[in-house]
Parts: sequence; C-alpha cells; structure tokens
Amino acid sequence: FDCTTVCVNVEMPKSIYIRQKSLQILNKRTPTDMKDTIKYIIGKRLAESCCVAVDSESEMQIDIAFKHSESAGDHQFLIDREGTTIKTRSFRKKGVDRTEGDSTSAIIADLALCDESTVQLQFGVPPPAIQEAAEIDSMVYRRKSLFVGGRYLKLERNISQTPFVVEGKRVTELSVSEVIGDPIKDLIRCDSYNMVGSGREDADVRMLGDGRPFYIECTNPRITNITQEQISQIERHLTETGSAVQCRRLQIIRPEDTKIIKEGEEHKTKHYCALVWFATPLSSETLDKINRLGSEAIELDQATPIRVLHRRAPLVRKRKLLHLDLVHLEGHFYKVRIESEAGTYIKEFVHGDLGRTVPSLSSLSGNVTADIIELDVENVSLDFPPVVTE
Amino acid sequence: MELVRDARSVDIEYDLAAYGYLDAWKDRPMSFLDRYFTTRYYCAPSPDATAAAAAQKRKLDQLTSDPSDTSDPSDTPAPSDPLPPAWQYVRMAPNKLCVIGLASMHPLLDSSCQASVGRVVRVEFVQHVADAQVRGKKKRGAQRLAPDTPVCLVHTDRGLVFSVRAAVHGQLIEWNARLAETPELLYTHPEQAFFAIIKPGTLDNTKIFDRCHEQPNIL
Repeated sequence: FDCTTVCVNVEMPKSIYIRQKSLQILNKRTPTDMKDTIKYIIGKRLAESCCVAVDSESEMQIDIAFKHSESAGDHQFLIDREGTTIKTRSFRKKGVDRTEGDSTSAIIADLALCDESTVQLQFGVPPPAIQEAAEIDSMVYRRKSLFVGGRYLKLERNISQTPFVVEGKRVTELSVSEVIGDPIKDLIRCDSYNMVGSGREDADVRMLGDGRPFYIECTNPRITNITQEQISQIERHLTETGSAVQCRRLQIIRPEDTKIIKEGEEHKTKHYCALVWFATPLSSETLDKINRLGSEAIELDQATPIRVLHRRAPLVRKRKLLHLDLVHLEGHFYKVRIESEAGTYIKEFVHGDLGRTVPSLSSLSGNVTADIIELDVENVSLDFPPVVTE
Repeated sequence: MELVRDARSVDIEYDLAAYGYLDAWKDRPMSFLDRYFTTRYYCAPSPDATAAAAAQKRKLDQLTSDPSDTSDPSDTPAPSDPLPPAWQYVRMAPNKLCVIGLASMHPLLDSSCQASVGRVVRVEFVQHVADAQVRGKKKRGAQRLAPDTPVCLVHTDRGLVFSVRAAVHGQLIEWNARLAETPELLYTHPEQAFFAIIKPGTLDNTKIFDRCHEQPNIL
C-alpha cells in the first residue's frame, strides 16, 4: 500500500475490561486504558518503520484483533450472575457450536451495571495472574476504494457489460468490465473491481460514438499514486490495438462524482441507429408519414417487454421518442435513427412486442411486420467524465 | 432543436449481403417470431366438450326459465363435418415465459371451417383471470394454471363457444386485454392476437412442454 497515513484500530481480548475493572476496585482509581496505550504504541512503531503518519481520519485503516485463550472465560461470571443484561444464544453452525451475544460492548455495558462485590466474589480483586501473552488473532487492511471513470465503446457484438455466465458456462467470450478492468487492476493492484455503467445495452448491441459513461470501483488499491499518463496508456493501448472494447476520457475520479453516472441513466437521452426489415416495402407515402411523425416527439406506451418480463414487474411505461427518421436502404431493409428518452426499449418499438408496445414502427407503417436486425447506440448524451487535457 | 449529428454516425453501414437468408421471410412474415420463440402445439383433450357443456347449460337455463320453450339448443349448430382439432400454439421465449394463442389450423382461424364455425364475436376471459391483479417482480396475485385450465372462451356468431386452455403449468402473468376489446385481431393481426403470457412453474423444457407437441399432427 502506497499510503501516507494510517489509522490503527485495535480490538482487545474481552477479558481486559474485567481486569481493568478489578484493578479499579483494588486501587480506587481508573487504571490507564490498555487499549489506547497499545494502539498508540503500535501506531508509533508503524509510523517509524513504514514512514507514515498516524491519523484517525486516514483512508487506510488497519484493524488488529488480539486474542488471549487463557482468559477467554473470564467474562463467564457476568453471563451467569443474577440480573445480567447479557443475552447469549448458542447454536450450531456448519458443524461447529457457536455462542453469540457476549460481545465486547455487551460486556462493558453489563460490567458498568454489575456491583463491586460480585466482581470481587466471582472473579477476584486483584485479577488472577496469567501465564501467556496475548497474540494477534487477525490483521485486516481496509483502504478507501479508488474510482476510475471513463466512457466505453463496444465496437463489436456479443460482448456483455459484465461477465455473463449461465449454468457455469460463459455466454459471451468478452465483457467490457474485464477488458477495461483487468489492466486497471494490474496497474493499481487492488483486491477486486466493480464496474458501474450509466445504463446498459444488450450484448448484441454496439456502443459507438463517444461511448457510454462508466466508473470502476477498485477495492483496497495498493497503489493510488497513479499519473494520468499511466491511465491514458491503458486507453491508448486499447485503441491502438483495435480492441473490440475501447475507452475514452479514462481518468481517476472523486467518489462524489459517481452519483452523476446513476443520475444520468434516468434522465439523459440516447441516440440509436438500427437496421430494420419490413415484410413489405413501404410506400413513399407511408415513409413520409413516418418521417413527419418522427420530426416531432412520439409518445409510446410500452408494456414490460416479454424478454425481460420474467424478472421485471409488469407495468406499462410511458416513454417519448424525441426524434425519428427512417430511410430506405434497399429491398426490405431500412435504416432508422432514433433519439429517445432514457429507459425506452428500442427493439420492442420496432417490432411492437406482439402489440404490447404502442405505437411501434410496425403499427405506424400500417401494421406491416417489422423486425430489428441490428442495433447500435450512437450516443449517450451525458457529459462525463470531462475530457482529459494533456 | 437542432440535433447535433456526429459525422461518424452517417458512416454506419450495414452489410446487407449477410442477411440474404431473410428472403425466406418475405413469404412468411410471421417467421420472424422464430428468432425469438420456440414454438410448440397443444390440443385440449376434447375440444368440443366445452361447447357441448355450454349448450347443455343453456338448455337447462331455458327449461327452468321458460318451460314452454320446446327448442333444443344443444342441437344447434351441429357442424355437418367434425371440426379439426383445436390446436393452440405455445411460444416460449428464452426466459421460459410462454405466450399462448390459437394456431393457424385452429377451427376458428381455418378458412375452410368458416361456414360452420362462424366469425368470432366475443373474446371472454374467464372470471378469475380477468379479476387477478399481478403485481411486482415476484408476480404476486398471479392465477395458477394447469394445462387444461380454461383461460378464455371465444364465442362465434353461430353460437359456438371455444375454450382456450393454458397449455402449460404455471402462473398467468398477463392476459391480452386488446384482444378482448378487438376480437378481429385474430383475423387482422394474428401475431398480436395472443391470449395470455404464462410463467411456467419449472425451467425444465421437457416439463414445460409436457402436454405439447412439436408439430400439430392430426391426433
């Protein structure tokens, strides 16, 4: 980890609190708090050997838990005493007997309510001597995630946004998150990454133009001191090797900026281009009529498409197509370009989803059967992240 | 508002030659549905049973309300030739949802039966189907169905009533209100004239199509 500050969090064995209370009864004054002392000592040593400063607000948190098996049963008398506030549950999990409820905070709380004579009788003042030293049970490193933002392009079909696995087999060979995420993971050496895009497109749909905004959250990054040049190198490499998945404006972003991605998904409009097949070529009147309608907004009522109905609520959504134009290519093939509100199902608009999307390109053409052959997203009108200036 | 057109977008070219196979669609426009669905066929055990039962009921009602009426409704309108089996289609999407409707060789859609069967005048969804309110992702309130459960009754102008069955085990997700409003869709827009969408109780294709056939063979 290339951090400059750390914050050390220490978890002491539970018996320490009881022993401190016992000493308090003995000496009639509060003893030095062991936990803070240990925390300070460890922090100081770490600071010296690793050249970091100790700061409780640090982005790098180290959780150290100590255990001491010899005194593990010290708090039992608190659970057994009359009027205890500690509630424990014993159960068997995965073949191992466990007991829960005797947490540190529960013990401290109950200890405050327990009278001195009980501590004296059941436990002992001063506390019983011990033979073994406490040892480290675990050490967990937690660092604030690093966020890398950008816009991705998908220049070929059959690429999903994230790895698509059905019944243990990969359905698509590539995924956007892996092509862009893996090099980033190697560069900043994080535990794992998670990609969030501003909306999605189907695996068989390309994402062209300037790409779709996304961010990748990298958990527990080791190296955060990354130059823009290093990041741009990843972007350049993908572009120069003609990768099917490319990115633009790749850069490190602030955690607060990630909100923009999700907000954009719901409010921003998208531009599409599709190849459409009509059962009977349209007359020029029909074509003109459709284009005239398309120059103004078209309101749609879309019932949840059958292809997603198994995992979405059945609703009818009102969506607007802000602009549409239809051009004849040759024979039964037409090219349609659409600008639509976020959340519009374009494929269903073309073929009508068995009449469940009204109107549809099929219904507008006088109920000629229409099907969508290819779909491309030309543009996602959310301006994020900002263009990288060299 | 002027649309900003990216110069690149004008360059999207589609390789139409790759789609030569779509020529086959020109003659059978409904074949595009095969891209999206796996089609199977179902036939109710005794297709005229409901028609006969409905006739019986009418007869009983008439007897109780007007004893002097001597006409026998169950005699009309008996078709002179036996009707072809009432085949329904089951179109299953990749996500297993099944769309059910009348196959093109169903008596109601078979032009050669028009004379005896008549034209559809009313599409009446069964009471508990019409009343059910399906809500949410988990599809709460959905009516449970067995393959032979009647989902809808179709009335013709010759007094015949055909029962449309669920064809699969599952929950009824949606019934086609547009069809109920516009029964003519059966003739004008067959692909929009589905009756219902059913979510099967299992993901196993063999079990889903337990009562279905690959082809509508004459039984």
